[in-house]
Amino acid sequence: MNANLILMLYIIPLLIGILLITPLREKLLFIDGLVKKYPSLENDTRKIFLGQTLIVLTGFAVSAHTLWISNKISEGGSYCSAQNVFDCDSVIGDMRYNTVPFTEIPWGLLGFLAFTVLLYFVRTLANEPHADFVEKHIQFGKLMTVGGFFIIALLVYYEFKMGKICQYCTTAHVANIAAFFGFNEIEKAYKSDAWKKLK
Amino acid sequence: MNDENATARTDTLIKIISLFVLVLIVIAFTTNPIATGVGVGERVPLLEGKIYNGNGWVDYNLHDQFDTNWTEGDANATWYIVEFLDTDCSACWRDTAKVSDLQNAVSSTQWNRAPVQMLAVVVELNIPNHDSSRDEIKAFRDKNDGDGTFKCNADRALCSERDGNPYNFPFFDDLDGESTKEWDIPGTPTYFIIQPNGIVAWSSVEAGNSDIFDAVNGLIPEA
Repeated sequence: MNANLILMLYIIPLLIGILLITPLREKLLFIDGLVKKYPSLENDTRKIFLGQTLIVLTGFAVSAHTLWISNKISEGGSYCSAQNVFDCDSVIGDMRYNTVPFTEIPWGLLGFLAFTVLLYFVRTLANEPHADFVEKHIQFGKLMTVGGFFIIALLVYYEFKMGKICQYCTTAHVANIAAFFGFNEIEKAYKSDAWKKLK
Repeated sequence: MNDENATARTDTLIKIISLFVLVLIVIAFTTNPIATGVGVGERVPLLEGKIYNGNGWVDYNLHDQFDTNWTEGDANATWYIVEFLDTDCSACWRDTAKVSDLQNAVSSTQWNRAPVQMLAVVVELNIPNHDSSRDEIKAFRDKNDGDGTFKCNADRALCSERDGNPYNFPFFDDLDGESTKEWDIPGTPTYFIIQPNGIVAWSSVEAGNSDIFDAVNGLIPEA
């Protein structure tokens, strides 16, 4: 299957997740159907949790896929090489830039680990919104995603130097940025009365 | 309350770790990544910089030469023989006749195996009188001393006095030692035979006393 088509499997849930963490969530056509099926989604904060889970799960999956592509390229295979600017093989396969500096850790593995931790924060918040760790997990989530901004800046700089864009990596970057805003929305909800209505 | 919180956290942690491990298992079973290194079966590290090709110094990236789609037995793709040398090292000086013979063999019209590209990577070992330069590299490669001031073999001889013919293959400038460090070279001369896809097929470090000519004949497929 075409690599860009597979990428849509990540982009669609990511976009839905992004919409769910924005005020647009109330205007989504499918939201009524979802609420009927899952009554807990009547609570606005629950919708944010759903959106944030979708965003972080997308980051988790796309990072794992990037790690898989990295392994495939090291075998000598190709996955999404192209003559145009969107060429994830050239970016992920470039030995100058494809590992975390001073380590042999592929960027995909770092992203995969980071999104696993973020997923843990989001799910613990959603599962136990009145626990004593809530504020800490929100702050840790925000801090981690802010740390991700520096990594994104470095990786975008690498892509600029190569003149190529890795569309899979970019999806993970967007997921990280969206996750930051998601944690921000969760923090706003936490500081509001809406949080008290969470069961 | 705290116990309940701990349960919520532990349950979530177990679920997420299970998911993480499951994904890792899928990746492990569906891929077979090749490590970067200079051991046999590993993908060679980067070698990017300037080479002297007989006409001048030009940009070079060894990885750009590789054919990642190469399959074993395909005799049309180019194999690579890489020698790490120091123009002032006595052992490298003694090997010049052997390297010249190797060059003659692989560039001969009688050569009936897959094409071979040789490459020398010149380093400057941190030993007294091992002071090289780009001009010395040119003098060593071309057996041409220019103004006669370029001394090789720890400054004991003119570079033109080495054995063998002038070389026709490129010389890579690694006088700053960057690539040598990446390639983990224990000393000079060190030889590698590299498959067309960039995987090390033979290394003098691992081969002990086995001869590079035997390795070339044993590894490079007949055309």
